Amino acid sequence: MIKLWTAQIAASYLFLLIASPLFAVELGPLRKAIFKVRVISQEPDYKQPWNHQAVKSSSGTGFYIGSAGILTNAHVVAQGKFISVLRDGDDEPVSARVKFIAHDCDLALLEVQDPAYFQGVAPFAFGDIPDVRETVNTVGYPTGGEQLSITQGVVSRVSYRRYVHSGAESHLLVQVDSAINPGNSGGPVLQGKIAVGVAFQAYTGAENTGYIIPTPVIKRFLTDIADGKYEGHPVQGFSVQEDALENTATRKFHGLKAGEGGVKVSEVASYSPLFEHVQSGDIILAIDGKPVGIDGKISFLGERLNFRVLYDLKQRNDQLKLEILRGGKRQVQDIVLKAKEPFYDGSQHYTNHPRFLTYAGLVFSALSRDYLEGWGRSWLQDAPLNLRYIHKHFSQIPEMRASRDVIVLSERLPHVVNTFAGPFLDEVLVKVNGQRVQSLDELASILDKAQGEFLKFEFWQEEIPLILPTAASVAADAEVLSKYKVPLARWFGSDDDGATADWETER
Amino acid sequence: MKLLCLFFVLLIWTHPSYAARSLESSVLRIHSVVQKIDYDAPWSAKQTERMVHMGLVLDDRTLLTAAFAVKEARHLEAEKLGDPKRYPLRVEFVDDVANLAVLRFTADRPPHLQAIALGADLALGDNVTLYQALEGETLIGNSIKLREIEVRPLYLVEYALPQYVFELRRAGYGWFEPVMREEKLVGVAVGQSSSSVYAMPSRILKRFLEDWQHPPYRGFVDPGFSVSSMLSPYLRQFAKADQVSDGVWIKSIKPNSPFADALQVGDVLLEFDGVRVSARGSFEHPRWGRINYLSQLADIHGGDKVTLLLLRAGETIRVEKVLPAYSPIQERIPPPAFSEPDYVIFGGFLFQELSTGLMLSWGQQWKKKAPLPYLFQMEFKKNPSADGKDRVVVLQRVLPIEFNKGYHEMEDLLVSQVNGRPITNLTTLREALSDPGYRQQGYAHIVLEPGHEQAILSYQGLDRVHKTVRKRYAIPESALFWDGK
Repeated sequence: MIKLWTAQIAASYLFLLIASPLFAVELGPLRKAIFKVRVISQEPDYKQPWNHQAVKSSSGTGFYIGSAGILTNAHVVAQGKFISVLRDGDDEPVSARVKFIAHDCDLALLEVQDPAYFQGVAPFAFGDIPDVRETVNTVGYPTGGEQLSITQGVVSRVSYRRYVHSGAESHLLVQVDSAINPGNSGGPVLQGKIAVGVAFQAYTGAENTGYIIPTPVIKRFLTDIADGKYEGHPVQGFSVQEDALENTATRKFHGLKAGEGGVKVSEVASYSPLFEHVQSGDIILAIDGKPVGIDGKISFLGERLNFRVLYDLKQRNDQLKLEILRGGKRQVQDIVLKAKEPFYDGSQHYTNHPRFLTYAGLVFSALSRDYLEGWGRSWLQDAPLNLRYIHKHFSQIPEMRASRDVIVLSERLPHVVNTFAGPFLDEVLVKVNGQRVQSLDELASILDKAQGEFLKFEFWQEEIPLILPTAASVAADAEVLSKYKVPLARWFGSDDDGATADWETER
Repeated sequence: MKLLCLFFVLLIWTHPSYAARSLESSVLRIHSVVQKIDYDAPWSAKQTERMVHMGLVLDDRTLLTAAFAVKEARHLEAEKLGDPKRYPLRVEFVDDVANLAVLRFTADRPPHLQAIALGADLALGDNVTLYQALEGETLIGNSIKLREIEVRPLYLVEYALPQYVFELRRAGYGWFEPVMREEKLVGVAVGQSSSSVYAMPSRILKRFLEDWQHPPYRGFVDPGFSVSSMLSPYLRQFAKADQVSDGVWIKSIKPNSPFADALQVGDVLLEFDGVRVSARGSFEHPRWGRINYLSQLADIHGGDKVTLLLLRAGETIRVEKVLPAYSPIQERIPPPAFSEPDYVIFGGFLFQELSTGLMLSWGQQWKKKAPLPYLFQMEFKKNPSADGKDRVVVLQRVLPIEFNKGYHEMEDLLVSQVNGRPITNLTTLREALSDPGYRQQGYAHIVLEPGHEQAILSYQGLDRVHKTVRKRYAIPESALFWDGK
């Protein structure tokens, strides 16, 4: 009751602030710490990875958090070729570049060329996660006007849910009932003058359902980059049966005590940090000492949240303690959160320079969600079955185990030597001359060393090999590259964006 | 007089119904009431649908129609054009592979029926008339021309047979309408695309009828291997097949193929049943031009000997086998059966075998919309086992009650193991559920893929549980609940 009253007072207070010219004075130096981020971006053509698609321009919001850094969303600056920031009240934008980008949790840190730009600007400080029903203000530059916009909303939910930007990752997030519109992305969400989150996505199926990245996720990101490199959220790679322990017989079979919770593990991938610690059929009773309920949730941050949230907020190589029940016996497993082997992660990478290899006019690329999205909005139905299946069930395919790249024959640049390779397009290469290939670099080295008369390419679930003549293929290479204006035959280098590449010369 | 003649000729030409008048005693309309299987509730059936097909008079008691016309039909009756009476029919004989069925009048039959006469093979470019009478009192003719012959699977079974392709941009054909030439039946329409009508040549009807009239029915054969064209000169050199320019690559062999012990993947098939096979897999047919070698299956009967000439590592090998009749029921993912669907209900878990019928329940777009694990099985794991008994057992859905709480959301999963035993069909599932060791211990263990989820259900009080499921979901007594035997 008291909380509700407080919220009402806050609402009318904000209304006054917006209406009154005093507001600018009230926000004071903080106004100078909010930026409109303008981005010219360009997505590669994943089928012909040396080419790019049309240039797009977009904008979002960012805010100064100290140490000459502007925090924004990864999706605001993804594949940015030219980024500029415009401080509230300024008339001249300043060019910026990405210092760190975290596609998994949709955060990025920008820097400008001259750190003196921030002189006298007070950075935003971060608070805790707001309580449900508390009022928050979303600040940013949504579409529909030039001025800084502030919308008020109430925190309606704290949950562990999918982050749309990567498409494959879930993290802690906070739902607010204020509209978050395009342009708001990357803007601070405030309680008073304290930042409690970053506005980042909205649910279009319902009105006024916005989501913000809360401070535990932001703090994890900032800690991660402290060593100068972004590693990412720890790899999980295991699945659980959410409700199985609601079943009375199942509980009894596993020997759970009355009132005891837990969650049943169905599968642990060979790359998961849990592999060899946890098995299919184990019950996870507690995570870092916090008991897991029958609903798979733990008490955390004053809420009931999916037990994975605790795992997810750790850094890679951190320790995790799991209490498990196996065959009626309770045991504790101390686990280092490090992936055991490479794997296909199914997320969108927003690569600037996709890695690829051309050989005799055949283009080999690595499968990714970005590649699959080439089939349009309903790619989950329209993409070829073999690729859809690998995307969804990678960990369950023994032939794919430990693959650093899922190698796809993405394009054929027609030449007499590859005339009969057409039917193999969008197939997944698994062997060359009987040797398993697990990455594009490995494929390059096999092809470079190939000496026999023929090369035999074997594809996943395909019963006929592709045979190419070795000498004629090598001879065809230069001809194909020049004929089709392919500037480079292969790319395994870094993924710096265009904006970063020439930063020094622009200075 | 000349003008009058011309007028008369024009009249005939523009009114093919004139020529068709005598045909109306040989071509009847078949009305069927169809009830499709409800795979979510296989003990019941979906709402009835009414369908109309054409039927051809074989004699005054029997008619010929398409197998798909009588599949899942609950009631069949014939109508003679111009006669208001309906005459009940029953199914006498069906061949799923040929997609043909013989129907017999159960009591009364229409008067003055006249057996349809079968004509010879057409040649490319021949002009014929396609008749239709799905509505109205008379047969309406369309003049069409034979454009090409395609070897393609028929509707129900993935079995390729030669079909005539006629250009026709008018919709509403493919329901067994007769294709006539010089008052003889040369084909029947069995399918349609936006620009063509597909018709089964009279040659197939002829052999089906001869076979049926002279039992035992010998049926069609399946060589049990698939091939890929061999146009690439590099592939030919690699396979040591560059001395010849013919032959196709054998890319997969079904474990239950009559040639299973004689063939290897990578063999080059040079001749099939005495006919030379080109690198594209075709041969020169005397009337139909270049056509896929599989069109020869139209003339081979169960029990016939078939010889293959192969090239393996540069050496030619001749293989001869007697081929048994092909039964699509032996497929790992078979076409929908004529019999009642099989399933098992255990503690509210509904288990079935994956079939093309189940896949079709996702509609026309099933190749996109059906669950990925099912599509994967369909596309990449379709080869049958050596004994033809292996199936893909699926957990279709769970009928929720308190007993199976915690598993209510499970659906469309593959059943890999029950009580520690691999599951290869519903019989092995029933046996595994009856495992005495697990029953004594009190729990059934069901493993589902992909995802390796495990359901553990109690054996205690299953009779009571099944009674509850039956009552709550209005399932009849006759439904196939697991009974512990």
